[in-house]
Amino acid sequence: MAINILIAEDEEITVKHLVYALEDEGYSVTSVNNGADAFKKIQQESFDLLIADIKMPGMDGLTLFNKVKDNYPAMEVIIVTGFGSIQSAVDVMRKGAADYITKPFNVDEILLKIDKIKEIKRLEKENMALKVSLGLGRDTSIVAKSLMMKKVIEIISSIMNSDCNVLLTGESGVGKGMVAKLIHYSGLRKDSPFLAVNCATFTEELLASELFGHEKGAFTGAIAKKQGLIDIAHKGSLFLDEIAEMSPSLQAKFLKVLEDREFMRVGGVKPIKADVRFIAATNQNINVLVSDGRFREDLYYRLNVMDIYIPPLRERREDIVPLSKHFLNKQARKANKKIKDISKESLEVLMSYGFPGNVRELENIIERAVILEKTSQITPASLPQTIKLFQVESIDPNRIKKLNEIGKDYAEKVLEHVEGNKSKAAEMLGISRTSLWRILNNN
Amino acid sequence: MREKLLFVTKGGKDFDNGFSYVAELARTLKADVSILMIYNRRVIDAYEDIMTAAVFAEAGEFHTAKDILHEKENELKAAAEQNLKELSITYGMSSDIDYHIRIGDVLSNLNEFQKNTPNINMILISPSLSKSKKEIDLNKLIKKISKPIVTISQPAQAGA
Repeated sequence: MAINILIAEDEEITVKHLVYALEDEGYSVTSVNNGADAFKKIQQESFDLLIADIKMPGMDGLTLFNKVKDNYPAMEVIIVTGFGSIQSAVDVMRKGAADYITKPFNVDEILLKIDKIKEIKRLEKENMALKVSLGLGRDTSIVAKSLMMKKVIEIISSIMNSDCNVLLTGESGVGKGMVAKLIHYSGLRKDSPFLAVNCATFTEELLASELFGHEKGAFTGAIAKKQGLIDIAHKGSLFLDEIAEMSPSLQAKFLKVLEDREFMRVGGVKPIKADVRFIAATNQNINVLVSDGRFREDLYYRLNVMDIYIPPLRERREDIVPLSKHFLNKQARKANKKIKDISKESLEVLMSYGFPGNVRELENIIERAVILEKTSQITPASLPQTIKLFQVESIDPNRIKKLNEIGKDYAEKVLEHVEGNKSKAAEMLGISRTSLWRILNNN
Repeated sequence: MREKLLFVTKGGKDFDNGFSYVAELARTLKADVSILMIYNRRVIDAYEDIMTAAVFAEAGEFHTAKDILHEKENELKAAAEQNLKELSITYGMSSDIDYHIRIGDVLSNLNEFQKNTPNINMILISPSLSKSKKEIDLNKLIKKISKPIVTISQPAQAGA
């Protein structure tokens, strides 16, 4: 974890010595020779640690410490003191300084103290990541009986050892968030935070502040420094839902993060390293948005290292029954009800329904049925009347298929039905094995 | 952010057919609903009104001619507004529902509406429009609209 250090010290030799030693350890170090300049620097840039001498011309170390703690309470401070002013150092420790060090000091001693602060900062970050991700849960169970969903799982397995950015596409409610979680928790970054943000929920300014964080005073209302999600998700993954809703200027800023692997807080001047895997999702046809100029082509290519399309539930009806049973178990447990099964008639109703709201709609229908049901199995009476009264047909204009694609999909379904036996599938389709082979290999 | 469903229906006596499904779907998905009610221009432009307006226009009374042409439109809009208000109360959605009344053909009105209202997640076409090939051409609709389209129909044996 990189930390930015500011040294406020008037003795030139001590400063040179410290800067050399700290930079050698990989820290980013800035130095000034008095308290007033130090506070000015803090107002302009973002620092994690201030090392300040007590005795300095103009504003002394104690006054600087008090001003810093009043305005930037998250910043850690190490006080450097001469032998005679130990009592003052003890006083500032009581007021919240991280540590103090007496002159003449050993560099190893100060490096040890910085290591301790680094560990505290890391724990604070981890704690914040846990708080942000609280509610996202680690539940990554995906029910996949259909060939289409099995293929999705296969793709996820194939990128387990990769760190590439991923673009998830598919209609609302198909489970893009769940797939994103599965990618994270089955990947190399599984022990680091998984955070999520919906780009459609925020205005451009707020989304920028959420993603990059902001410095104190960066805009009206920015009363304190705020860490952004990219910062908090350090070494983990950040799921950007509805990425197509990101404004063009924010797309440009975000592209820079992907290219340079660093970012700046809103109102900040110092770049911060970004070690984050990005998983983006959209329910729109991003190719159309790119050709219309509404989504940056370069950003699209950066995100689309791996594109995973999650098909709507109506195109994978084989998943309806296992999904319904999975949701029944989950909801019955939650509601503390002893409902063990779904009646045959209810399953028929569900199988013949179009589910425009996809898996999310199915889960909510089962949740409601569990609440209403009085017997030990879900009966049609507990299902919404309207899904029995109306027939719905969904068309996603972004996914209109060509005839040969439909032929391929159908052939794959028949093949799945006969458990991969190509001769049987060809016989059922009334074509030769060669024709079936051609259809299946049609890209 | 809550999703938004757009229910597109034809102005007239069956305008609320299919709305019970939309209301249920909105509840299930925890989504908000917008209604776009589209009246056919033929309903508005009655022959006698046009002729009366023409007579006034010939006599140089352009304001009266305009009033005559808009009278029916205003009457219909007022009635539709009342119906939609009642509908939203019936389904207990008064706080989440917003409605828009348009006159003209479905495709151009829907296209214009979705361009000006980008946060629509799904477009649901009422049974009265879904069954009418004259009113709605799905092929043209698919070319113009980029959001998922759901047609609602009612099997003959099912009640309303």
